[in-house]
Amino acid sequence: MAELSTAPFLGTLRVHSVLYGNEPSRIDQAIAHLERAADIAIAGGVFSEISLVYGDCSPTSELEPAVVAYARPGSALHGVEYRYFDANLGSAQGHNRLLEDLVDDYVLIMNPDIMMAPNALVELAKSFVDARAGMVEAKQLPIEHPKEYDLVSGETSWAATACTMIPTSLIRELGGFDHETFFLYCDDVDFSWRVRLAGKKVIYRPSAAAFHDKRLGAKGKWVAGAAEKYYSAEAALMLAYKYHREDIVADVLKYFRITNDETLLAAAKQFETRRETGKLPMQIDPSHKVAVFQDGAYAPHRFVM
Amino acid sequence: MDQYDNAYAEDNVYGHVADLVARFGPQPGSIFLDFGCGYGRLAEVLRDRYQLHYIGLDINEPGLLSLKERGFDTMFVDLRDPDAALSLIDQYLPQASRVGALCIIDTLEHIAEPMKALLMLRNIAQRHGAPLIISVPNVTHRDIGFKLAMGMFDYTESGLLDYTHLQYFTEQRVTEMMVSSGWYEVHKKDVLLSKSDQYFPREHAILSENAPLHQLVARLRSQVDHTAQINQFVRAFLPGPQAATTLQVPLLREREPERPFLTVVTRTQGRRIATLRETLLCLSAQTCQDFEVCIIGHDLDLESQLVVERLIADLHGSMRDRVRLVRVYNGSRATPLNAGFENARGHYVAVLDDDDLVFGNWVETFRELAETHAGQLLRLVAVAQHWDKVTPAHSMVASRATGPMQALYPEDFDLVAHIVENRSPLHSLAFPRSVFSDLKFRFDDHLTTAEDWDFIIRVAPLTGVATSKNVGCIYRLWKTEETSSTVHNELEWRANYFYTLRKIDKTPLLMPPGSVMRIRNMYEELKRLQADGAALSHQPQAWLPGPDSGPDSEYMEALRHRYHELVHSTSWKLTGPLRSFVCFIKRRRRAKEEKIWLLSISDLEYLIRSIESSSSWRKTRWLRELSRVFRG
Repeated sequence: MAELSTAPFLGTLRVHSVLYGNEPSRIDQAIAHLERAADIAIAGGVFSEISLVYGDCSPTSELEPAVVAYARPGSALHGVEYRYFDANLGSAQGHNRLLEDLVDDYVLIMNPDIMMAPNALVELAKSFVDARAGMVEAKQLPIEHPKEYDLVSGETSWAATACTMIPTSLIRELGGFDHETFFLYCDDVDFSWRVRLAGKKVIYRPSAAAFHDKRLGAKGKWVAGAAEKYYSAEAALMLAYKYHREDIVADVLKYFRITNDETLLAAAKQFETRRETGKLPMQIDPSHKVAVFQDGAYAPHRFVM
Repeated sequence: MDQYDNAYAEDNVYGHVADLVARFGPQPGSIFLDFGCGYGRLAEVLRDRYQLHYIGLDINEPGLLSLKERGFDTMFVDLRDPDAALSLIDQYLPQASRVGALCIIDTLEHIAEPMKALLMLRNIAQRHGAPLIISVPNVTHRDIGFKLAMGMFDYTESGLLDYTHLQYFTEQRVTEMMVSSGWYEVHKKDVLLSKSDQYFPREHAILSENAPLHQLVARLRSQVDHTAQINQFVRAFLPGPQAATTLQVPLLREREPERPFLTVVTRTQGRRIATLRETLLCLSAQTCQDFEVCIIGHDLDLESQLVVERLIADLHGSMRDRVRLVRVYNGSRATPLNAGFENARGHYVAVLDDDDLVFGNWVETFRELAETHAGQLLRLVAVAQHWDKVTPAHSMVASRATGPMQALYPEDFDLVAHIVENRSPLHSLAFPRSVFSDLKFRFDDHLTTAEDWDFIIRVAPLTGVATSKNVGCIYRLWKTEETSSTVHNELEWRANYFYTLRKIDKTPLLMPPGSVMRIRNMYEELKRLQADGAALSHQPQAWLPGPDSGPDSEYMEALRHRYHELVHSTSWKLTGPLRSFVCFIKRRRRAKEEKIWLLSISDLEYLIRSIESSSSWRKTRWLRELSRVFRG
């Protein structure tokens, strides 16, 4: 119980997750993990109430039964709700939709395939002892992200929304995620940097573990899928542009063209189209106060995956 | 002469029965009932040595006649009708007589329903507080088993496979039959025969002690239990209550009892709670949940025990129900492993220590392999990664990855390479539980290090290894933590290493298919390497396959490719002058350029590791990263 003693009382929490063609059995498992973590957080006096809302971007609403099966009496989850979007909104817009009616004190943005450790909610909450904590991210396993963080405070450049807790007041103040600019990737990097521009801290919490079912390819190499490759390439350009790093935009575009890789060329073309049609985002952070572009990443990394 | 008329000898079944009788201190003058007495060659010894009143009971008339002629009492009693037999005996025995002991030697195997006879004997024994001594032939004598495996089952006129036998006994069946009949074993003096009457044809390679085939199976058989050379089980029992679960026909086995696919054995000393939580999280998040977890608490103090129990209680319901804590104390690193395997119920058993990480498909990959390779040792690919411990503000200790995934372990299992050194972290393997429960393989308690390697290379030759190229687990290389490699010194490692090799060398070794060509190629390669410079250029004859053909060659080729890639990379070349300078300053000799074609797998692995962990390689990381980011 000593572990719980430093966790503050944070009021109510709502967990948001956006679905797209997920395995029903994995959703079921994820909720079972969350339910137990909620049980422990409520018993530990960290939250008074925890609920869960899914937004589904899938082509059909066939995942609904997998979700609503958990809306049962006696659960630690005060409510389990399913909302069918009937459109592939992407993660950023999907989360923004869910945020529209959020009234709880805190929100946890979570991927639907995240399995939280039983103590993860309590551990995440502990970082909010610091009034300047704006975003607290759990450690993903078995592949831990290599971004650097302060060993004592946990402060870092950005937090992945695979499993991140945010005060509702702050996410409202910042207007949620920039879904106009980011579809699947870097919406969390952008949000993190706006959190920091607002004077708040982005904190990485290695004691809050969350299993994210990522796999490695042959020889332990990271293998990016086609969608990941395209959207992360597109997002890289948009992020560099938004944070006033035209030099990086130019370097990346040049590199994409040299590779002659179809996916990268498509991302470059999309960026150019947006530029030509005036659909690029408004630029911020002109003095490069928060944005980090280092070795192709958005934070100093401890190692290369 | 009758085939059942065997003379008394101190070292045959009669001598053993007489010895067991003596252990009960029989009262002189008391009655000794010998059921299925045959020619009763015990009679004189019991009378003369212990002054017992011997009565022989049988349906074998020549035997009864012989006893009568020698001055002993006899009864014609048919054990196939126990009620009639009991009635006859009760009528025959004087009212005030005292039965001191009963025996039934090499008779139960001739009866269709031996339990009924045993219940009748118990009825008599309970009234007199008398012991029963039995002898039955052992059907698990290695001579029978080995021959049966080779398609031979030779009935004989008498002996272990007497053609009139209706029952076949293993030690376990004897015990269950006796307990079910209300008899409790108190003494035993089995008859041992290393060469039984089934030891023929003596030149058969499965029987000949000089044949490697015999040596291999004999060693395995002797590992299973102590009954391989028992000819007859000779045991003494006292009557007691019939077991609650009395079996009409003892030892009928369920063919496939319900079991989880996998038992995960997790060793913990309660010192790595944070990582144990992570290990359990990796398990509860598996795509395949057909497993149970057996956490073996080794030398846990009460405080640690409570913390581990708390961790288990914190798991969500369907996971918690499949996790149990077993505590063991003292012993070596092998002790908790053996306890874990002992408690395992799964078809397979895998070891996942309290600081190990696995991917979501770890169990699923093992199960898929088992579906097509049941009974084989299962292996998936492990990667290594450096980790450290951190203690952030308001937090307990937590783990932190400090290095990239390293492909230190080969994708395929090579037995020869594993005999040289272990290339499979324990959690990259799943063992058929049968090797522990049926073949009685144990982690060697003698070993203070490398108990896993010892177990792997003893099991793998017998079961074979089915491999998957899926990366399924991470071996964490801790920067600051105590591990077995830091606690034990080099001498201890070497001593244990050679102890294992000597142990394996005591018996013939089974090699996997393809080994003949492999050994031949290795021999050729060795000769080539041993030859002088002129011979080095000698090319093998064109019709012979090259030394690199075979499953290992792909890995060797990959290593050569990687080494070549590293030493010819721009960043390595750029930092060459820096390394030369450092060598000059530190007065070290500059590393020579290796002849890549002469390097063994372990040489290549070592050189690759050295380069990748060198400071000049790490310092030039940024050069390689920009192109890597978008390589896709």
